[in-house]
Amino acid sequence: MASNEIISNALEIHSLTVRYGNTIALHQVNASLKVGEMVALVGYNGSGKSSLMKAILNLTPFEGRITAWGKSVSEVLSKVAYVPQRAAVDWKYPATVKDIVSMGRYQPGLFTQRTSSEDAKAVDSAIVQAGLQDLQHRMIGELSGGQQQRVFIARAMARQADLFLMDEPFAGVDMKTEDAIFDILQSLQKQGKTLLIIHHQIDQVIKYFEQVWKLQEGKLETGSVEAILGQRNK
Amino acid sequence: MMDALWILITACLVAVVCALPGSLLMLKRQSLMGDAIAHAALPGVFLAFFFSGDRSPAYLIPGAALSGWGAAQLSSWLIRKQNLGSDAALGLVFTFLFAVGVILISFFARQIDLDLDCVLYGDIVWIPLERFYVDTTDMGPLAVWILSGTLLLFCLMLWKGWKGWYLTTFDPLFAQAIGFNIGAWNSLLMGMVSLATVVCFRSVGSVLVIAFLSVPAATAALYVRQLKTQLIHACLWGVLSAFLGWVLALPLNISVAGGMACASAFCFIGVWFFTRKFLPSYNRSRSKSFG
Repeated sequence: MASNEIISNALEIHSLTVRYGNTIALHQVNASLKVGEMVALVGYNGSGKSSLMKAILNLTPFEGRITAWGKSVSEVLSKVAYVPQRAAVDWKYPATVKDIVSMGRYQPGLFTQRTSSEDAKAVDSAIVQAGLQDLQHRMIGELSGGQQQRVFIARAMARQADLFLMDEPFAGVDMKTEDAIFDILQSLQKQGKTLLIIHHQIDQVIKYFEQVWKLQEGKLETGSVEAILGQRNK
Repeated sequence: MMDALWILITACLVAVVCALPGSLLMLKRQSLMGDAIAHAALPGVFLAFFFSGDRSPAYLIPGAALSGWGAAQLSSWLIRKQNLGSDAALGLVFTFLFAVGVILISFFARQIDLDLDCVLYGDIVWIPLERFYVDTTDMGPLAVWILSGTLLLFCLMLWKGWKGWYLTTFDPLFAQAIGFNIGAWNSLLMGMVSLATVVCFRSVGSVLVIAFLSVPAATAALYVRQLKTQLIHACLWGVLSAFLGWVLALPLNISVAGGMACASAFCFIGVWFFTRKFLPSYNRSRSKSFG
């Protein structure tokens, strides 16, 4: 039974509580993500969406237990990919698109490891999947917001991970880019990847997603878009 | 003539030793940290001298480096754990430590031979007098050896940890998410800045160290497209500033450190003007994305 659970659930969250001083950001949150599922994480500003993602990635202290494929997330970090918010970095940084996508292959440690042919293949493949072939030698500061977002997604894809955690990948992009990004996410889901995506626009969640996690005042509701948001998929 | 050459070599080494960590600081938008560490080193300099009674680098460098590094850690702790803004944390920690250093030096001025002006503005013209001997063989000015050793160490650190520097200065959150120890990388960088500050300020004073940590890096950042180019060009602008400052200071009989700091600013203005005039499309595309 236990082994079946490990296979069917990519992510499990048990009694998760996150505190910042005296403020409780998340309280006794329980949830699970099945392998191959794509779920939108919604909630108002300050509802704890980013705290939940940071707790999953062990970037913030928490109480409770979080496992990926039955193991602690830090044990399977190489199978987890993270897409931070685009605004989190300085896009004036002197680097090309390919430089940034290559970062997805970096291994932690104080000493730099050589780039293997497998790394080069993964980077090239991610660039193609994200439709960035023509832009790969461009400076990142010369890209539009939507292109920068695709660079971040490509960097996550270069990790060849099985679980993707994305913090607002649709923020500040036009409708055309939004569709293009969703196509990339759908192709990842078709490859059997599991995706948890923070989204703040309910109309887009209704349009693109079937499953949703809704955070409100530190508590989490999970289920279908219809059950949680009270509307059918379009 | 030989002395003049040694002074120029020292100034060029100072420029390069500062430009390397200065570029990384600038990319992390923490250029002010160099300024802050340069000032926070003062109590360390005093305490090292007070307890050793010796002005040799063997005591002053570890003292100042520890003081600067400790102050950087303290301000990082205030930012991360106490949710204080980075500007407020830096302002609090470093002005306090600098003030403590000034008070200590003033208070014990009669008992110790440590000149505040020398700490702030340096005295590069005396560099050739402090020699490094192996047995009885004169190996040249001590400062040149110390700076060369520091430069070698920095090059080694950058080369061996290249990908780590690249990722942690661009996107620390992603780096942490994939397992990089951001605290360790940050401490390494602060260690580099502290070391650069203390080995350089003995020669040129903390004011020029601050200028060399930030201005050549900012000059290169106006046009470079790669991190490697950023580091190399920042070094080149630093060397050019040192040379021009020396050339400027000699006939005008002004402070050499002041001349070099001014020269670095002139280089920045010149490059800024050139990129605006001759690379307008490049500048427009860079500013459009962030405006």
